[in-house]
Amino acid sequence: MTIEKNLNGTELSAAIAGRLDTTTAPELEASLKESLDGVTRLVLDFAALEYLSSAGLRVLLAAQKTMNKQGEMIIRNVNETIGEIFDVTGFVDILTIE
Amino acid sequence: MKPKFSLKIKSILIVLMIALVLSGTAIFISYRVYATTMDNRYRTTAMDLAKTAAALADPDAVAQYAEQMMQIYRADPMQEPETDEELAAYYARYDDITGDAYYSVLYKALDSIKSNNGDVLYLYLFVLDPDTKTGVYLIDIDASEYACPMGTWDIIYEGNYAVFEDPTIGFPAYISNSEYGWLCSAGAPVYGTDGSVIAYAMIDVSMDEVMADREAFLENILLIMVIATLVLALLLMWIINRIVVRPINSLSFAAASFVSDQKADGEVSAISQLDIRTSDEIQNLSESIKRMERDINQYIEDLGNVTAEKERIGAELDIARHIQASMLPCIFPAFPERNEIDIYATMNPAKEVGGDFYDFFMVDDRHLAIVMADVSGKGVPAALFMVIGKTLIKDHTTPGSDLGTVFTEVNNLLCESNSEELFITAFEGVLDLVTGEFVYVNAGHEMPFICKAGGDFEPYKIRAAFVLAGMENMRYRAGSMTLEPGDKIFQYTDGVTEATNSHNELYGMERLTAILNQVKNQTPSGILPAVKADVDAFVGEAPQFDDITMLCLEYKARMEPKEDDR
Repeated sequence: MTIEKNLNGTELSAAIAGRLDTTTAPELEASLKESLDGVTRLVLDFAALEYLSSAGLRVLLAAQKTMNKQGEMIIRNVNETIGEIFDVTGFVDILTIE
Repeated sequence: MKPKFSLKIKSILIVLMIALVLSGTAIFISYRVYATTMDNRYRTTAMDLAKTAAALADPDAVAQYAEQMMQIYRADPMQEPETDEELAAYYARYDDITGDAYYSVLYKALDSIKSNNGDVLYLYLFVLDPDTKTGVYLIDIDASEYACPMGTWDIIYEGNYAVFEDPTIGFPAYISNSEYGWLCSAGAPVYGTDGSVIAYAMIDVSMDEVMADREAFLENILLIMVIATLVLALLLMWIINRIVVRPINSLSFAAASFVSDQKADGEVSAISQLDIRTSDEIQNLSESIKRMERDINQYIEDLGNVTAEKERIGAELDIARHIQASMLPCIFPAFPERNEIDIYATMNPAKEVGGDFYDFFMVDDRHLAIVMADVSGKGVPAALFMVIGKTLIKDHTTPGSDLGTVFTEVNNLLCESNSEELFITAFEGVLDLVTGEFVYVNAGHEMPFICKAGGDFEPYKIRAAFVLAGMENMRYRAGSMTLEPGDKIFQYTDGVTEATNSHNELYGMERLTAILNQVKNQTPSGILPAVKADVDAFVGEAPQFDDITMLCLEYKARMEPKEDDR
């Protein structure tokens, strides 16, 4: 998994590529944790995300909760596989997917 | 282990090489200096003697003798008489000259030089004949039978031809080794009263003794060098052995016995007993090895503690896993007295305690509840959360309660006790054994597979609500369908579809559907092992990352309603 972060004022964009699973989720969690201070808009780009496990969902949920307090979180370029996972797990209800 | 080239042998070889080069150079130089000095001294002596002899002869007499002799010689030069008679006749021609009174005086005077200088082997005067490039003997101070009487001639070597150009050069001293032994020869001109050169006084000094001395010198110096080299080599061997080899061997031995010392409990290790005081790098090495041993021992001790701690945790986790497994209903057939249903469920935890769980229980006499859930994450936190989730769901599923309400309440309760941001995907269904109505609620869990009697297993598309414990105040709504006798429900966790083989491929829905339909006619207790075997065959040697949990329910027959239910 690779994370490409880009901070523009209070807007943080992060493009995540590869597999977001049990082994890589802690990395994303730590990476977001250190950058979310003062961010009011978090944009996650999933164009190159191949796989998302429940551990990855947990990181997304934590990020969503944090962003609920300080602004908004938007997920972009969700492909079919990932979209299905969001559907099946009901995450579509709480995430803002563009 | 015996080294192929020990330090001892190496150091001896080095000493020998150095000694060889040094002594070779020393011998060469000293021999050359010694030889050159001696040669020069002999050259000077020979030339001095020749000059003395030349000065001793009376120039007038010599000039006269020379003129008379050369007159006879030139008449017929370079004669080579063969018989004794011819020789005697040849020499007899000069008898008039040698018979002169002064000739014997000259002989005696020159003889005194020869006899007073023991090394002088030959002393003679000769006259050069430039035409034949010969020297003709005028007088030879030699009483032996090998003496050269007047008239004897000798070829002048080409090397000395310069004397014909400039007679005053004479014959500069030179050293030769011939049938006469080692000789230093020199020739000085005899000057006439008019200053011209009339003859040459020739001297041959024997150098045999000097040469013998020189050999003896060479032998002595060689002997001394060899002895000195041997003594040095032995000394060095002893020193190297004492300050290098022995300490290194003791270090090597101590290091080699490190592990056996460790095993022999309570004994003092060989390393700690090392006592090397060479005040050099070897002592440093010894100190470092001692320190290393202390550090290693400390490390081993720490490691032992850590390992013990790990083992303890491992054992406790093992117990936890057993407790967790025993919380799931695992006695089959589960309801032997009921012929309306057949249910079977399995959970194969990954290595650690996991977060999957299944459950089934009778809500009341005619309602059977099944639960399938997966806590996000792994390990102890997930396992503890699973216990809470399982207990809450079972407690809230009471007769007549709406499943949507059950999940809504359970979700709020779980959110209260969720500090770790964990969540649970859960599916719960309640089957009315009398009517076949199957009410279900899905919080983010996989869709169940339904197999209608005579049909195929197909995923039953129901829209999932959000996972449990993810967010407070989520609303969950129950859905329902109707099952007929002979229908089967298969529910599972993502450990099945996401089982991964060594090529990083997922097992997936398609493979699952295929195997389910292969074994769809079997009983639940036959279907689950078949699916597990198929997953195992797919995964191969790759490690199992997630719990694999499955449940299969077959609705075999309608339950006869009781009187008061109607």
